Amino acid sequence: MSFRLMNMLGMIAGLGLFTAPGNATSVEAPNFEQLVGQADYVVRGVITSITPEWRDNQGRPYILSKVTLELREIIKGTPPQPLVLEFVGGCIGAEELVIEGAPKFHLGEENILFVQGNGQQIYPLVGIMHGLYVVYKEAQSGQELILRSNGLPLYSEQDVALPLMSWDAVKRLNPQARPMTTAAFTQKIRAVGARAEATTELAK
Amino acid sequence: MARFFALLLLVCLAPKAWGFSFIINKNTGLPIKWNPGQVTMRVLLGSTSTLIDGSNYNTSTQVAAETWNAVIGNFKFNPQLATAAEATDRNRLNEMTFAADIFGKAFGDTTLAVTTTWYSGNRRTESDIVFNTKYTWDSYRGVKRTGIVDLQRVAIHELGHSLGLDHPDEDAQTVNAVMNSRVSTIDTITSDDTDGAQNLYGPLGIPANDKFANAIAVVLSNGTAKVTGYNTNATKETGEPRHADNAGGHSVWWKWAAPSSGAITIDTRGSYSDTTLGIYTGTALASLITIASNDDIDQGVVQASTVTFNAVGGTTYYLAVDGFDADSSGLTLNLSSTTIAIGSAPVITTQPENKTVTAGTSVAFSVVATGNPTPTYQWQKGVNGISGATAATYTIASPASGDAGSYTVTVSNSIGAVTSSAATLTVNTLPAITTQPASATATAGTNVVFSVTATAGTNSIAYQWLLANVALTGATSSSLSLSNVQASNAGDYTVKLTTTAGSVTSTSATLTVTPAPVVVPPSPAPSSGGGGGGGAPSLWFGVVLSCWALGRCWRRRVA
Repeated sequence: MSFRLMNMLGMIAGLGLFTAPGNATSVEAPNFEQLVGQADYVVRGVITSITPEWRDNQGRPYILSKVTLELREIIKGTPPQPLVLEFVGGCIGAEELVIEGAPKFHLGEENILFVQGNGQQIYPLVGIMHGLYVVYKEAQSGQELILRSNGLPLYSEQDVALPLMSWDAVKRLNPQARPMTTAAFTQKIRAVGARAEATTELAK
Repeated sequence: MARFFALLLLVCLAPKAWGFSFIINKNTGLPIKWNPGQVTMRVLLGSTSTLIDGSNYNTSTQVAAETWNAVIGNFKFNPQLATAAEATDRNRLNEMTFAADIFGKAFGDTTLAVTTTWYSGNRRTESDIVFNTKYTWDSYRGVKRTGIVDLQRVAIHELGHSLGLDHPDEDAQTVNAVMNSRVSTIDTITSDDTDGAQNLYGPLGIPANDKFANAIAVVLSNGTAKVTGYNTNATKETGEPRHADNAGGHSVWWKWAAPSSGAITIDTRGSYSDTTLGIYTGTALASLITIASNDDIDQGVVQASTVTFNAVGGTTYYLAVDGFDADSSGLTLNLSSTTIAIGSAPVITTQPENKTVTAGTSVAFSVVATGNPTPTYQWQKGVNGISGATAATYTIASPASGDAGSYTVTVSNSIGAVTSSAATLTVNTLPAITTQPASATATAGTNVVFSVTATAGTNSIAYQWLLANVALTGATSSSLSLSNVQASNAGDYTVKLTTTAGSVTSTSATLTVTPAPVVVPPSPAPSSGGGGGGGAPSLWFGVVLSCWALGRCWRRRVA
């Protein structure tokens, strides 16, 4: 990243324009093995649409959003295709329903998702915010790096069980630490999930 | 891309100096919060179980609600204990309940509780808190216990979400907070939690700068200034202008004295509500002159306010921040200028010096100081300010002994103030004789005392007695004692009184010495004298009555 960009972002931050990274409510974080093991499937994909709609639960209306992904890679399991995730919450007109703290999907964003109970759970990811990771292409190196749901780097797959702020602690313990690359992260997922599912590469 | 921006921002700033985190409306960038007032929170958790701390589910969560109520200013939860029942979403009632699902959907394996909120714009309209029945709930303080979840601390956490607080530890902060994303030994709100809630709903009480007359001074440092405050529970005064042509209703005031002329930008970025901003000159609320005003930086999108205007050096500007349509929250006011000379607090380069003068002779203390804006001065004697002594030099035209003492000067400008070291004024005063020595007549052989009384302010007085203008050895006190006076002591006495200012001599006092009475032997009996003839001879005794010349005395026969 360039310093010019960093400065620009700092200025934007000063405007208070950022949406605070949202994460879930009271959740007990899974460790990496649980994260992989509890996932029905793990996929890498790009968010191509987010569509909120009114739903009804025994006469009580609520908003549910459908998130469609263009799959780039299936890392574990056999997801339906096309993959459409459903989560409670969304905005229709002037009304918005939120699960306080739950992460939001962003159009065009590339994620690695640990999907669990899609259509059955209020949020179809293992450990809610612990089941969403962002693929970030670093402009300077061209490397694809893994970010946690709060937008901070993931340095080790074992850090998924730590509080999301712990990236700083990791960095302090090892100043030379580099965020995990997408390739390294998916390799770790495959290693854990190999016993459960075969992995199928999708052509891009 | 927003997430990538967030990454970079957090990398740049972490760890943040500030705390807490808000649930933000992505369209306005402002926190989503309740309207001022109170909302009823139906507590449907049940009251039959007796928990570890003696409470039941309902009363434990009631304490959680009151915990927040105790620290926030313009909003309160009103917990209403009710019979356990299933909560109803989107019924415009705020409820806390146990359930196995939400909207018919499972929590997920590791989710303890969920707060769902409906909102419109920046306003919350309904908030429900659902505790997952999968877990074993109890109520206790202190260390987190294995297999038993403390309902109260989770309720405090979820009610914090309901207020609009997010997880600070997931927003690049390292703080102790019950709002952190993980249940921990923290079982109640911390100062960081309180700060967050108060920035949404204000602290208890009325802001100190609610009134125009109590505007808080802001000073630029290196061309910028940033101040924070609250407009919750503030009011609008009679005659107060509409800031940015909005009725507002919760205005607070700052003031800024321009150290020099130049363009300045003032904004409310960092405030947690929709603000309006008005800049004025004038000293009375009813006669303010509007210099600039603004509602939104980007109308309806960026709801902070900003103005830029050319300030005139030496002018005091009053800065009013109000909430658009009576909105309120924690406020931030930023001032920035690249053209206004950077001010500096006064610095004394030459301290006032001690002075010693003779009474009646003009004397002046001076100080040399630098500062921007140009400093003002106030001299003090001791701790008391001297009326009218407001220049760099303070002159006493005709000092008297009462002017002696310790003098300081306080040098001030809008940025700061400094007080000089103390300078001592010594006023030398001639002695003033209040009682002159008095003339005396004494019989030879008796004692005589001459004395003089005099004042000389704080000066000490040296005395020297003189007889016929000749100094008497050792006669250096305010009184002169003469023992066994003789004729040789007779004469004119004066005393010379001396201070550092000079000398004065008393009037003359004359000592007259009369002879002492003498015993004279009896004279022979006169032939015709009494005593009877032929009898025993009589004895004459006499006393000296007076002497007018040596050896010649009148005598009176007494027997």
